[in-house]
Amino acid sequence: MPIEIIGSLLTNRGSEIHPGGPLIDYPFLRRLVRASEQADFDRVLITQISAIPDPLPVTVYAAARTERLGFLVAHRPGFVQPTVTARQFATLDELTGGRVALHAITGGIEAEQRRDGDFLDKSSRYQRTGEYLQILRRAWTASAPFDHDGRFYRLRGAVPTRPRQQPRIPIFFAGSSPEAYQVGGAQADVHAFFGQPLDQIAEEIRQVGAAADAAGRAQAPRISVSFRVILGATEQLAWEHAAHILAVTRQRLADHGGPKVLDGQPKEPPAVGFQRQLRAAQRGERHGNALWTALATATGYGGNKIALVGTPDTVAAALAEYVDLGVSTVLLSGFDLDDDAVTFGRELIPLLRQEVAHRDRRRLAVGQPPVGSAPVGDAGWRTAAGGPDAPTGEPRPAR
Amino acid sequence: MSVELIGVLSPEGDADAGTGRPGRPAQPGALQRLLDAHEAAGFDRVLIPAGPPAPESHLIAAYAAVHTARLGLLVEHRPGLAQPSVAARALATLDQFSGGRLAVFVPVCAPENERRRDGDFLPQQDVPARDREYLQLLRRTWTAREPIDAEGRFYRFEHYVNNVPPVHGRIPVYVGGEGVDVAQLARQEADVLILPASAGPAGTALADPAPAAGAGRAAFGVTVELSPGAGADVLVDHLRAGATTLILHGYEFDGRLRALLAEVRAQAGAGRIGETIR
Repeated sequence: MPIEIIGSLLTNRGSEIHPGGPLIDYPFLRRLVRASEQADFDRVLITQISAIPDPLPVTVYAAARTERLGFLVAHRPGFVQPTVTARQFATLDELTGGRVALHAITGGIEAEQRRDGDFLDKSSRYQRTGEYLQILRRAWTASAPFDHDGRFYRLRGAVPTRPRQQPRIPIFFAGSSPEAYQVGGAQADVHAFFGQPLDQIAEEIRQVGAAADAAGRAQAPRISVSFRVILGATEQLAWEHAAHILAVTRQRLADHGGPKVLDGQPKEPPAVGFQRQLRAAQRGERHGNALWTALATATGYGGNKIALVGTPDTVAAALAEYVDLGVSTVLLSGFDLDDDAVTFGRELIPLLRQEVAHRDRRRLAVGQPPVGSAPVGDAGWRTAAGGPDAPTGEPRPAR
Repeated sequence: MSVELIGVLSPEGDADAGTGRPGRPAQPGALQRLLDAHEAAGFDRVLIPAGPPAPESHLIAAYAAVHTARLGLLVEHRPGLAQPSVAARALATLDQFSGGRLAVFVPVCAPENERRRDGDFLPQQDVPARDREYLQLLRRTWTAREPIDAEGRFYRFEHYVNNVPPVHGRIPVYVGGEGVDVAQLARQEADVLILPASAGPAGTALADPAPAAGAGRAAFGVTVELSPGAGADVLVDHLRAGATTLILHGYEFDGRLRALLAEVRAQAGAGRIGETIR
C-alpha cells in the first residue's frame, strides 16, 4: 500500500513570506492546481477559516482542471446543519467523480469561532463534532429517512444522500487534546497532527490508538502528520533557504506589529496543536537531521510551522522515519505554494514513494503490515477514491 | 417594461440528466448539457433548487459558475440552517467564482415538517422573525467594511471581518414562500418577491399588501407553468400586471423555446439582469 501525500491549495500566494494579493488569484490558482496534479500529490488540502473563500466552490473549480487529484476539504462542524453538509459533500463527491475527503476541524481558537457565531467551550465543541460526524456517516449510508435526538442536534425524517464513494466519504480529523483523541479515535478514518519530533508523534499515535481501543474499534485510524518543507540542492543551500524564510517572516511580522494571528491580538493561549509545536521548539531548534522549529518560535501563535529542511534525500529519509512509526499520510507544504508544488513533484515525491515502497517490502518480508493498511471510509482509500479510471463525466475547462 | 426570464435547473426530475437514482446527485455531463441548453435558449438566469432529495444547490451553483460563461444563477438557499456569516461567505464565494452572476432565492417561512428534516425546530410563530434577522445579517455581512458584531434575538457573532465580499458589493435577494408574512418580509428585506404559480396575473395584488408608509416595494416575479403550445401572450399578461421576473417551468428545449423567450423579450422591451435591484 502506498503512502498518501497531501499538498495545499490556497486561492492566492499569501504565506509567511508573501502578501496575499487578490482574494482569488486565478492565474496563481490555475498554476497551483495543475502543478499539484502533475506533482503526483494524492490530495490537496483546501482549508477553511473565516477570512478566506468558502472551500466548496474552490474545490469545484480545482476539480474542473484536474482528473486524478483528490481533495481534502476542510469543514468546521457546528456552523451548518449536518444534514445540509452531508448533501453538500455528497454532491461535491458526485461532481468530482469521487475525489473528496472531509477534514473535520473543530477549532482551537475561541476568537475565530465567535466570528462565525460559535460560543461553545472547547470540550463541548469536540463533543459536538463527535455527534456531527455520526450524523454525517448516517446521512451518507442510511437507506431510509431517519430521526436523531442528541445533545446538539435533533432531526425528524432526515433524508439520506448517497455520495459517489461507497460506502461513504472518508473522514479526516485533527486535534491533539484529550477530547480530540477521543473523538478521532472513535470516528476518524485518518487522525491528523501538526509536525513534531518523532517521540512527540509517537506519543500522539499511542493516545489515538488507546482511544480507538476504548471505543471498541478493530483498527485505529490512520495517522497524518503535516510539515512545511524547505529543500535545497545541498544541505548548506537548504539551510540558507530556511534562514532566508525565517528572516523574511520576522521582518514581515515586525512590519505588522509583532507576532499575532488573524487581524486581532490574541487574548487567549494558542491551540493545543500549536502548544505542542512550541514544546518541540523549547526542546531545541533542531531535532534529527531535518526537523526545524524556528518558525514556530518566530510566529508564536498558530498554524503549521514545523519544517523539514535539507536535500530531497534528507527530507525523504526524515519522512520515512515517521512512516516507520505508523504514519500513513503526510501533508507537505512550502512557502511559495505553486513553485514548491513543482519542485516537490520533481525532487521529493518520487524519492519518498520509492523509499516507503522499499521499507514496505522489508516490512512484508518480516510479516509486518505495510503502510496505510488501515481502511479509510470503511474501504481502502485507493479503491474507493476516484483514480484515473473513475468516470468524471465530461468536465470542460472553465472559460 | 423590462423582464427577467428564469429557467429551472432540476436535474433530479429530468430524464436527460440521467439520474434515475433517487437521492443521488446529478452527473456532471448531464448537468453540463442542461446548463448549455439554458444558456442557448436565452434565459437570463437559472433557478437551482435546494434539496433534499435534489443535489445540494450551492454545489450545483458552483459547478454552473465554473462551467458557464454568461448564464445568471439563482441559487436556492434555505434560511436558518447555517450561521449567517458562514452562509454570507459561502454565497459571496459562489458569486466570486461566477464573476458576479449570482442571485439568491430564499424560501422563507417554511413549514415545520420540512424544517425539522434538517434540524430546524424553531416554533412556527418565530420563523418569520428569524428569517428576517437572517436576511438582515446576510446583507450586513456582505456590505461590512469594518469588523461587525451581531447581537440579535436568534443570532450572535463577534468581530466578523468581511474579507470575502460579493463582486458587486452585494447579492440580489429573491424571496418566496407561503403565508401572510412573506410579502412584507420581501418588501423590507429583499429585491424581488416571487409569487407562487397559483397566483396568476390577478394574484399580483399579493405583492403589494397595504404598503407601510415610506417603505419601498420589492419588484415581484411570478412562477409560470408553461402549457404545451403556450404563446407569448400568457407570459406578457404577467408583465402587464407588473411582474418583472418570470420563473418558467414545464418547457422543453426545442426551437420554439428560444423563439418564445425572444418574443416575450421583444414585447417587453429589452430587459437585463440587475434592473430589478434597488
